[in-house]
Amino acid sequence: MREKKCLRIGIPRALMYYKYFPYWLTFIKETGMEPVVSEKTSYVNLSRGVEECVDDVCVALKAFYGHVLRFPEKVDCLMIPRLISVEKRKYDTFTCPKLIGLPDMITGFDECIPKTVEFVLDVARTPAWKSAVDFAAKLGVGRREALRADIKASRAQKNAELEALKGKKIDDIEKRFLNGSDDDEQVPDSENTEQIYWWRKNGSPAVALIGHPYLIYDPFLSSDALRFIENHGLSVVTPAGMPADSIEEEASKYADISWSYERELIGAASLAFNDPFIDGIVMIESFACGPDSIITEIINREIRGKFSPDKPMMTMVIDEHTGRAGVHTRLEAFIDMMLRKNLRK
Amino acid sequence: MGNSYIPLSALLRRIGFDPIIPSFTNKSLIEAGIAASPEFVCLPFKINMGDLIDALDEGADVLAMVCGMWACRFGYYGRVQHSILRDMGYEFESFLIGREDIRVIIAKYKSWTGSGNLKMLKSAFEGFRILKLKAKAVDSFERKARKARCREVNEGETDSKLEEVLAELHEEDDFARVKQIMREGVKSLDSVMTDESAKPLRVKLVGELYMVLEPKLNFEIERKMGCMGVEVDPVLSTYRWILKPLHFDRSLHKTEEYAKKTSAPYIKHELGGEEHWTVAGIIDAFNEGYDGVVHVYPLTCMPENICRMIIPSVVKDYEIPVLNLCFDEHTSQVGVSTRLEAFIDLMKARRAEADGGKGRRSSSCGLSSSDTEKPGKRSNADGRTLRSEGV
Repeated sequence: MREKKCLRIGIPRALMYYKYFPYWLTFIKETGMEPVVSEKTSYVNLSRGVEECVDDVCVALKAFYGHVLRFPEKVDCLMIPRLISVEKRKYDTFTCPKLIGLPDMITGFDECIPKTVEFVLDVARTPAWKSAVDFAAKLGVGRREALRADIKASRAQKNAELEALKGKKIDDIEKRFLNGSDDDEQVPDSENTEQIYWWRKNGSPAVALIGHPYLIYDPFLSSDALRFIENHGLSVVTPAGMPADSIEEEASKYADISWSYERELIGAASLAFNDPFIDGIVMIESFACGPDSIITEIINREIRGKFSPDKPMMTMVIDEHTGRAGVHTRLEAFIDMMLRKNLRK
Repeated sequence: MGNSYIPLSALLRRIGFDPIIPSFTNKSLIEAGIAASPEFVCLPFKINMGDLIDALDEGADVLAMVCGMWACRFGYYGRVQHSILRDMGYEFESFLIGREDIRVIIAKYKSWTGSGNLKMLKSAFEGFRILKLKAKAVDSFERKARKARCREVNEGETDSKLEEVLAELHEEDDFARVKQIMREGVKSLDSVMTDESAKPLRVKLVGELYMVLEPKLNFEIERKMGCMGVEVDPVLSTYRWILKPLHFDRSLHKTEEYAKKTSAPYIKHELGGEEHWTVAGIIDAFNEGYDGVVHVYPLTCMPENICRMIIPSVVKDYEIPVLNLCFDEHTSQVGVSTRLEAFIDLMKARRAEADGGKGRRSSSCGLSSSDTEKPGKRSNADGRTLRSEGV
């Protein structure tokens, strides 16, 4: 089968790609297809997305449209994820409605883009391996092969998460996956928990950068905020760098929230506020993001107000008009303020 | 929201509370709400915030809010609003219906009213009965008014009669009297002089619940278009909104299922809002021979924005004109009127074309044709004359 034809599957480098790329890339590779990832978000493809999109959705969705409509290379089909729920709980869980309705929206553009294939993930109702098998079946890959690929891809995802936990940058992990260097066999030692909470040991002041992965890891949308803070000699802790069980523990202190990703952000913010080694918190959210408008209030009023009203926190709202210089000036001021506060202590 | 205050306040009075009905949504109230709200939540949150501040200023002790866990953010409004209000220094008891255990709510209720089990059951039973009765009455009045308004001979007759019967209904809490008012009200609305030969344009109103039902927010789109001689038919109603979660009327669930099934080819998974009603409304409007669809939603509304992106592909299959109106606190009444007028012209032209070119001429000068001619010209800053109806 593999010799017959190697399908090329396009993956837009936007939205939850930044969280699930290890799984998606490995899975597609392992089932004998070739993943093609779109270029990083740039001015050109973002403005194409802005042209086609409704005005009042978040900038990340506009970027996704841009990636889809200006897909650089010829591919056989595009993989569009539909993430309905990503975890199982006592109550119903969801992701953002825009992630649930994503394929419905994209199929409206049928004529100008390649064929689309949905990757439906609904962990609360169907197990993850089954959604992987269903996805593979749409592309003509057999059940057994898909299952084997799923196991491998899940392991890759887990390893990547572990690496992120130990302070490795998402950028570097992504590079490794894209270049396909074969050292993904080198499994990071999961017993070695020494490096977890790495920012507590390396001595430099730490900033927690809280926000959706598609904002904080996208260098264009976030105006490279992550690297900018790092270049000032600080360590940057993102939600991916925090242990999942501590995030869960923190999040369960507050009233339940059914959006999984936002629950994670609440947990991460709470952890950052309670961790004495984290000196400041920067939140990045996008304009018109529905869930963010609610959880920012929850973080501000229920977490910050209660636990540490004097820990510096800055919220930056970004959209397609955000200027790099504006973001950098504000970050600079924030860092200066934070460091001075530390000196006084 | 709309006329829902009539049945809801009857319920609260029955079970022993004194409902405070905030003043009808007005400018200063909206501004107070906006000042206290996060920047980019949708308009209903902000309006609701204004209402709550108003109610607290008038001395409310208990704030009740329906809460839940859906994909739409509405489920968290109660939680966030109440914590904002507390931070503003208001003191009140909060009542998050749906989030708290039913037993907790019952215990709270008992301690507030000091009533025993039996008395509580009795008042709850009577309360919900009057709720259903009044909701039904409001619904039937609104239906009648909708039909009559676009055909009325004496302008404004329908609205004055509707106002009258609604006021009467709101005052009365006795079952027999409410039933009587319902019968009389329907009769009174039936007696509106109408032009039976008129063939008004028919428009379906779809979109986000609050925008569809609250006339002060959508600039009375239903009444305004009615006065321009268009029959407006909202897919959502107060009756449905109040009674569906209470499981009192089974037919509501059937229609809900129907809407989900109809919209399934376009929306494969529910998003937590009224998206299936919007898409099903468009498909129905096409099948039932409507002239157009007006889609209203607040800025940054998640489910309706998704609909907005899906609508082009729906319209490709079911050819019908759709007007998208997005509202926020800056939307101006004149802007909405102008767009509605243009949309009505378009529908007229379409209908004339479908009739085989007959009457094409009269429709091309739609603004001056007799059924859109209403008094009340007003000049805007440019000195151009825009038409606005009885503001």
